[in-house]
Amino acid sequence: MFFKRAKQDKKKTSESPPEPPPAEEANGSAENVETIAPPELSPAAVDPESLGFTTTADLEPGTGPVGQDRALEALAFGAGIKGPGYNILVAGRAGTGSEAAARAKLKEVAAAKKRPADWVYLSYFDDDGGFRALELPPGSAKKIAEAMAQAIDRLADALPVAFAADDYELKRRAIEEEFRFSREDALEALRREAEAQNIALLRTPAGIAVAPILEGKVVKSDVFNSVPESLRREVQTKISALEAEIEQILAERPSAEKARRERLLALNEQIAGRQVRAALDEIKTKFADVPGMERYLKAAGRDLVRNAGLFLTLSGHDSVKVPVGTIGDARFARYRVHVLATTEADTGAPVVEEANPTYANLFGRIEFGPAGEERSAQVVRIKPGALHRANGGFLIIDARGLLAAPAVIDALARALQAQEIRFDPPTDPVGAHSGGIPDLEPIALHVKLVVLADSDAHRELAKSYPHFMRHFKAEAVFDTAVDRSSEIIAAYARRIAGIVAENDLKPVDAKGVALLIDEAGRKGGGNGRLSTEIGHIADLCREADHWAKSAGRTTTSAADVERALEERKGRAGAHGDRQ
Amino acid sequence: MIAHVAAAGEGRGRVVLWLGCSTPSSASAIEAAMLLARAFQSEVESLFVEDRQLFDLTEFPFARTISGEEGWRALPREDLEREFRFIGAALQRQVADAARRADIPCRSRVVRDDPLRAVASACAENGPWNVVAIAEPFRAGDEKRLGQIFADVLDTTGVVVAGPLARRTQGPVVAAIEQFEQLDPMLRAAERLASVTGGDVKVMLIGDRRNDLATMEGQARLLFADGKTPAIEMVLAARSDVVPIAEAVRRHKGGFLLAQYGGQVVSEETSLRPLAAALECPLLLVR
Repeated sequence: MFFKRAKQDKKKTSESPPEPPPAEEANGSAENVETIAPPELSPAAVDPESLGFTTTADLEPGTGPVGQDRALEALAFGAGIKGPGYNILVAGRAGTGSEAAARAKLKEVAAAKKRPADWVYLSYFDDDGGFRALELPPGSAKKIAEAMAQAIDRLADALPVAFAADDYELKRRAIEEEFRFSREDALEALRREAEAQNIALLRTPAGIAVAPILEGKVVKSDVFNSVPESLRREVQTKISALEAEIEQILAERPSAEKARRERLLALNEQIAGRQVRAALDEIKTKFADVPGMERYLKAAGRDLVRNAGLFLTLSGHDSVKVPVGTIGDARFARYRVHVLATTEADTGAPVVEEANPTYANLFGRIEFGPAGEERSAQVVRIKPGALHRANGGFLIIDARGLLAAPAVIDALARALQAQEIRFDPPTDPVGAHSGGIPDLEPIALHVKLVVLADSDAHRELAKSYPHFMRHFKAEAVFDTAVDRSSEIIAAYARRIAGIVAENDLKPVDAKGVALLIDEAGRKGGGNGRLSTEIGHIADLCREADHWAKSAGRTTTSAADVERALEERKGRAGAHGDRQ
Repeated sequence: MIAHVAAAGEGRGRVVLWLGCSTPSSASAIEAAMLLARAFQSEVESLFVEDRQLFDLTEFPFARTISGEEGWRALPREDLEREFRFIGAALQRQVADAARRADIPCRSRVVRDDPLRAVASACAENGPWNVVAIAEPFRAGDEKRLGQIFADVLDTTGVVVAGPLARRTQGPVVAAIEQFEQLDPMLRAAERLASVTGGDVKVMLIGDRRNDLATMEGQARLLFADGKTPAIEMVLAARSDVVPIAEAVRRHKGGFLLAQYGGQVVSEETSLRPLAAALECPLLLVR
């Protein structure tokens, strides 16, 4: 039996450290291989002669797991069936190829499916700061986001120029002057009325004063004091009355002030409106057939006109230009189109894998900009979660990661139940602002969740989260061992050929393949079953290839496989010793 | 006439820049004073006048002043002096800066007097060929003040004012002509000004009868027959109707407007309102 033979080899190896192969071995000739005695065949051992090939190069490389037809059928069923609740639980020990098989099957099914719709979040432009979800034709989300960002950049250039233009400044000052004139007119009328009573309205550095006059000049105080008291009182009474009228004229006149503000607002809207229309019209035309776009652009246009002042800091005649890349500025973040889901052309449905299924990684997160003096923190970015990215396709999650976050399992169960992605984090997500989370309209969820679980995780999920597991009507259970048969052995050989091809290894000769299948038998429990842990066999193939290369051989032989097994055993022993 | 000064080489007089304190000064008026001085190789006298009457008022126990922002407050003499001092210093500094930039000789003075008398005295010091530039933008009711200047300040040939919308001192010089006799001297003054405003001269013939206007235009074209004819526009406006003139002024987008005081453009009887709403450049009013 070759295990015994291997022991002898190990003994030999332990006595003297391995030496580089002699030069004559470099050609990999049959004579050189014969320096190691062929293994004895046990009743259960695979006969290399029966395999029917010389090396794996003669075989059609096989892919996927070996002997997992039932699991693969279940996987295909789960991936293909429509309807709520048909999410897939893939159960299998690591190395059985269950994960790779699941990925391969999902990709195959996804490639044949239609590209799902894109999704974006757009501001409501209301006081609550909420966001509306908009479904867009596949592939258009990024284009719209880019077009909107360009429009904002364009406005950052155009609005300060428009408001600094002669035309605007003149109109604005004309409105202000008109307002001032009306006050001046009232004062002028009062001045004339006062003069008729020998009283003057004088301009002082601080404003207006009232003085008694005689022949157009202010009366000297000694002259004034020399007149009878009754006359002085009469003058003072007149002065008091005039002062009261002045006070009324100078006081804020709500109706006039309101009219002034309205006219200034109308002027600002006229100037800003022209620029905003020019900036948004292109988007409106380009995306005219996108439902909801026109409505959004109208709301955005109104908001841009109302907030044109954000784009400029007027100081007299000067204007300060906002830097380019305006959409990145927190002040303009509300005009950002937040792309939640999009796909590239010719990609079918998405297959997304989330290795770290936290709430934020699955449901997204909100990033806030700094709060200003007069404004609360603005949402600068809504980052999509894996659910958004996978919407319309498949989302693969590892069960161990899920079990580490029970709250996420509950949130996922709710999402699957309601068939919507609702941003409602169990606690403040990282980056969320303590001031509150804005209202995000839920997005319809059409994802097929695929949970990869080993048997322990499978049990734990079934026991502790039945409300979650009831959404998994498709279960693909990958066996750890399969019954030995000539078909399975042939499939195994092809799979080994596949491993060789995938890893760009040297072909393995028939004896080597037989040894590898025997090793699968040993792993399978030695009761006539073959282990399905292809990962283990793949590792052995790589290691045997290494030893073949060290020996200068062009083909991986049984001796190389045997050495790989021995070395592995040795390493395992050393590891055990250390422990 | 100021053009005569330039031609005769007599004592040139000065541009007396009258600084008051009742409203913020017009940057355009200050700029216009500098341009005028440069055009006629003159100098600027910056005259800050503290109205003596206000000091007389402070002697009264009931003296107080009101502003829209602060409301009423007492007006003691010390406060008034202090405020005049600060405002005067700030204004003189602003003028000195403008003069330095324009490379114009500038003298500054502070006087406490009746404003008109102070300006008249300043003009009387250096021959009759002065121009008074009022730094405060004109406002409703200033028709009377302008009339007083032309009546009381004898040693001045003209007054420069800027409206509340003034914002331009560069560009064409628009000469508003109401009588043919004014054409030649006004044109010469306009040409001198145009040499510093960077524009050409535009002639605006103003009359209330079409025939008179046509005659004036014919005479003007004869006058220019030997040389370059400036752009001529006729403005038909009823007497005391300033609106068509104001519209024409607005259309020309001039850097300076020249007009004769006492005519249709500006007189003591004519409201300054339409002009104030249209004039975006300084106005040089000549006798």
